[in-house]
Amino acid sequence: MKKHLQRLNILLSILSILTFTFFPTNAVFAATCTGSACNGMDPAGTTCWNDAIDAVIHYASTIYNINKYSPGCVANWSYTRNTSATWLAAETVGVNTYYGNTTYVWVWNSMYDGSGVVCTKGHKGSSYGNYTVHTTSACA
Amino acid sequence: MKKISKYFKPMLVALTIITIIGAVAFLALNGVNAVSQNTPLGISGYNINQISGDVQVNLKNIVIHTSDVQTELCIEMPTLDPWNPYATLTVDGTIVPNSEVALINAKDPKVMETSNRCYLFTFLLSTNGSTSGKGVLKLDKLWLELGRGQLTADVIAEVKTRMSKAAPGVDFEMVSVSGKGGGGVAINITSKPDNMSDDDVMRLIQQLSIDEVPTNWQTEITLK
Repeated sequence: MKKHLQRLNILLSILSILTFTFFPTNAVFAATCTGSACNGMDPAGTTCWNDAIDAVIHYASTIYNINKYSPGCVANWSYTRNTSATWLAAETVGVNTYYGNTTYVWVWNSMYDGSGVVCTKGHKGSSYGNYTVHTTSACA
Repeated sequence: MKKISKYFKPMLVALTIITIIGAVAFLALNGVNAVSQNTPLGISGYNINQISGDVQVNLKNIVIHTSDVQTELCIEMPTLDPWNPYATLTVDGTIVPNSEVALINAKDPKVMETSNRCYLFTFLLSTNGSTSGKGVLKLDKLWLELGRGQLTADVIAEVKTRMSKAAPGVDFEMVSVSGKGGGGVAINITSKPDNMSDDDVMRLIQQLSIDEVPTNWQTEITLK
């Protein structure tokens, strides 16, 4: 009997290992921040960018601006990209704007609470702070 | 004790069968979903060469204003990755690219869990409007930025690998700079063939950091 119990123990152990190997529970990774706790935080290198979606895209000339949204962090940020390196800015309307301090191919600004509607814009110009191309407000 | 001994063998057989069936079912399902996994980087979650541009599109709605046309399309994406659609509207021979593309219900946590996604496209019309009253709405392509637009080591490695095939002799650095309130990505070209300008290289790097799938869906619409 003792032998059988030992076998049963081994069998159940194997089954447990197989179960957790083949049917893992959905891994839940803690978000870097959530909602207003993300305000002002750079999304680069956070979990927020890992699940970011392009909620709205607005085009103007050679640039596009994306209103990026992280469902895990419930936060939005602005992302502006050009076909070549130039002076760019990424704006969250009424919140903050990141002005690239050199020529970049794409720029982004810090995050803002995404529990409400957030609007973003992109800007391109010939020098720092001198922007002549603007995307219209992209809201999500 | 005898009872336990009596039922031990059948129980062992039953549990073994259940485990095998479970394992086979998991492997089968995992194999089917492997192509469409929503990977964080969007680099290894699909094989771009195996993705068909023959996507299903459902035209849900068209609203015509004096200065623009808005249309809602629901698109069956080839994978669960965060593809973006790009569409054009041809009016009287003039191709008007979409000026705005908005994912409908973008903040619904489940919106990216399904491959069927709906978008609102905006096309700006000239003040003259349309003389023929007809237009051709075309879904040109699906595209996504590697790493969802985030410059990671994986993205840089992938772009460099692609460049070594597309334009041998080109070498460059991609640098992500974080500053106060945001950041940017700069590209430093360290070597290139004589027949390529810096702009050529820059454009190529940009192209290689974006995956595109040409699509072939189009439909004629009435603009009056």
